[in-house]
Amino acid sequence: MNELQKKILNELQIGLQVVERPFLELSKRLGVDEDVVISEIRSLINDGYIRRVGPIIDATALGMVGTLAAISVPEEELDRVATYINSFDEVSHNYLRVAEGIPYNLWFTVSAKDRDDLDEILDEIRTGINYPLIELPTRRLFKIGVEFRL
Amino acid sequence: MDRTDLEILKRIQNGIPIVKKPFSEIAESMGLGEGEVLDRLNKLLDEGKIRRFGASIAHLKVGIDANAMCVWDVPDDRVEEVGLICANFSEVTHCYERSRVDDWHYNLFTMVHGKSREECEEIIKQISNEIGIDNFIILFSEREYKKTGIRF
Repeated sequence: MNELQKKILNELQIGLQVVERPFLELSKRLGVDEDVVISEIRSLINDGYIRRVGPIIDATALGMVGTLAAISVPEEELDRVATYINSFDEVSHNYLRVAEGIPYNLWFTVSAKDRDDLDEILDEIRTGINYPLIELPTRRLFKIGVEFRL
Repeated sequence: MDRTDLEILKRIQNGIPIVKKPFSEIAESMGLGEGEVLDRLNKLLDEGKIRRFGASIAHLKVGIDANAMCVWDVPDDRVEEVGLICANFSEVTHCYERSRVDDWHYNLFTMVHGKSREECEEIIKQISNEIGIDNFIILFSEREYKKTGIRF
């Protein structure tokens, strides 16, 4: 990643203006041409540094409900179970996290349009994999999704 | 928030096109005016339904290698105070209180990002000192199986 790309990434974390030519606005802040910004962002996407440029949606504000869940999966079953869990569109994050003394190793988040839907998805996963699963719903939110400087 | 808003969000949740006039392209593909799409999106931003327009970054790829979920067992009557302190650390990107269930006693979750595991551990040590709680466990992310935006 070059210096300009780093600057672009930092700017993109603060946010892009929703205007006719958002990349022109961004290019003015960086003091470069709009075409340069566009081609650098395309490279960042092609090289895998950025997944996408788009809206960061507040699921709760849209009335959706979400939760964190964890399953205890034997190591040799991890890839299969992870693939199964990923097959649900409502699963947005899924990580292998391991710590001594903690039986749960596959951690994933689920967002659904309402509580019933969420329960249905979790039940389906429970039935589909048959390993111990805990659901850890949010009680209070202190900080969410703040990105950091590169 | 109406059907059209939802259709627009669905259309762009995987990303806007990286072109000079991305919203014009989106509007055209939906048979809407560019101005209408911009107005609707800016309203959703004002209302907080869209937090911001930005990039979803592949942390592993940009060298922010370590991502620790640190879980704390915080006495219920201290959660508010402790949660606010944790949220103040810039390396903490997410901080939630979650329910204790079954054999799971940890009720405060902090996501800590750093360049290395050592850096994360150092930050967590600082947090621990500041809040006076040493009953915590660090769960480093060892493999990312999925990271997408929320689908609706």
